[in-house]
Amino acid sequence: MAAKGGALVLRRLTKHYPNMAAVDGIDLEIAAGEFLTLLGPSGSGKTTTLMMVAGFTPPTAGDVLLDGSSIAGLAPERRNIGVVFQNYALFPHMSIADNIAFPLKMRGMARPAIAAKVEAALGLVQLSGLGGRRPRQLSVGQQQRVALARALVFEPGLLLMDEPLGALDKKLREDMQFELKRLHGELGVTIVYVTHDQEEALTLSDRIALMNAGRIEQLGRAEDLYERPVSRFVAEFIGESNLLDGRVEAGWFTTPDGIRAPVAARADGAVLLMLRPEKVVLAPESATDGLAGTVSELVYGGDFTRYRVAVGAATLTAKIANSRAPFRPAVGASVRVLWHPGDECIIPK
Amino acid sequence: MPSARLPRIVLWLFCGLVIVFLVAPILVIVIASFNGTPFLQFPPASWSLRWYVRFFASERWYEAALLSLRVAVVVTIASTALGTLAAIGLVRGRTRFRAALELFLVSPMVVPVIVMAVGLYFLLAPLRLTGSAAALVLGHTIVATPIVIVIVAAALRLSDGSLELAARSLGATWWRTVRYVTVPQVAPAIGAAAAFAFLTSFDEVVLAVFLGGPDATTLPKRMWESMRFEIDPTLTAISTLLTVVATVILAAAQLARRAEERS
Repeated sequence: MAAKGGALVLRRLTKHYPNMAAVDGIDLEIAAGEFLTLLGPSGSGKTTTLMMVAGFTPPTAGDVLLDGSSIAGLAPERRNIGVVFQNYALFPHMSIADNIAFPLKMRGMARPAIAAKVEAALGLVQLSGLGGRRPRQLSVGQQQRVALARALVFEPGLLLMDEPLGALDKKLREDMQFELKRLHGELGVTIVYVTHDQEEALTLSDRIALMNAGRIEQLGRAEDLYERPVSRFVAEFIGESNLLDGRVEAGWFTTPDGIRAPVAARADGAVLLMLRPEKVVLAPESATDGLAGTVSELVYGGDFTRYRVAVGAATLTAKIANSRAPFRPAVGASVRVLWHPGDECIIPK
Repeated sequence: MPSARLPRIVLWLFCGLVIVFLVAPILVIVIASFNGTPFLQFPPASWSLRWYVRFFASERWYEAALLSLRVAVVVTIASTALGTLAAIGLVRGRTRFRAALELFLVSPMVVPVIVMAVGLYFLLAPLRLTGSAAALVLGHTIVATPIVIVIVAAALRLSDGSLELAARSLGATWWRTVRYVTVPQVAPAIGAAAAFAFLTSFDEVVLAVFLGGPDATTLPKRMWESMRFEIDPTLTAISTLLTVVATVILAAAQLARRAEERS
């Protein structure tokens, strides 16, 4: 099963419902063999986008191109795209082998060839020997693998996955993430993956398209979205963040309530300053620089401790690794909050 | 305690009465069918199987039963096919007029059968279609199809629509999806619907009276005539047999459903 990845292009793809724009003119180019995640809160349009690519939802406007040719007018069965559904959608009245054989049977393949392909697909997802079972006799994790095998057995160039790991517990979800990465590497198939789980998106994807209200808010690699968010929405959706509204003037960031800190050079004007909690450093009150604050709360989290520090009217969160933290202030202690120059991210408004 | 026990006693009493009223008429007929005297009599003074013998020996009754069976089989096939397709369209279709369409399609269930019978009579008489098995098939199919629609649509609403999307994405056309995924999903409901369609036709008397004419006489119509003109005790034997047929068919449908759920 050596599928070759297909290149997918979405051009001004739009889906309007009577009183809302579910997807509002999306442009996206996905390279052959890429793992792209559509990430976003529920109602952001990510599943609608996926359903338009699969052919289940007719777009209001725009185009979908697979390997250069438009597929927007094709019926779902003629698109040759693998789809893994949220609930797996295995056929309960068929055996596992028949489920996996289904797409091959629909393509008129000869029986012996089908049997060989099914066997290979079962091996690929490490379920050899379970072909005779019914879906309900398998665990949720095994059902997930069958759904994957069934969507890949006909060697589509593109695989769509709609929140496929949502029903699994944490441990199983992590196993499946590794499994998915392995399959993606082995097969070279292009994957478009929908999830609302940012951790999953960060772990799996080559690139992430973060969606909000039917549009792509930011498109980039995981570290782009995490370290250089382009908007408050991205900063708040991905990871934890400290966000301060203020102005930059001559290399200094100031907030209306008196916080003042030097920042990496930027054009002057109204900005949003974002600081990831793990970039925050706490120092004793005696330190000469940094912002003066008071520890209002601390939560022990095993490998780290999360401090909440009141700085003026704002509260900043610091996530400090326990392995290398000589300074451990208690609740009520006066501290200095600082960070290495350049660790902050300035988002122009 | 009496205050707590009283509602319970009333409930039992009420349920008992319901059961008695449902079962008693059938029991009376069944018992009367083993009557040994030459008149309709309850309770019977003597016992015999003579009315059963008479039913199976009489060509008149035999022909009526055969016609009923033939009509019912054709009606079952036609209404199950039509009703299942209609239900799939209603539940999975994308039309905006779905609710109105559904009301329209099941409307034969709310129109009094007598109105339907008179209407069909005036419609079919000029076409010289009354008095034929074809007219009976037509009339019964109209009445049986809504029953199939209601039963199959209910099952479809409970079934998982994403299975059909999955089938399409795996390369199945719409028809093959219906054949390999949709229909197997609701097969027990289709079976039950077919059983009800069969009985709807097999037991039907009003349409049979209006549309059958003198030539196409079904079993229920023959019973009705026999009731009016002679009060033949053979009726009780036939009624008992009809009850048995209905019970067996419904029980079979129910068992098939259970077996499906267990597999």
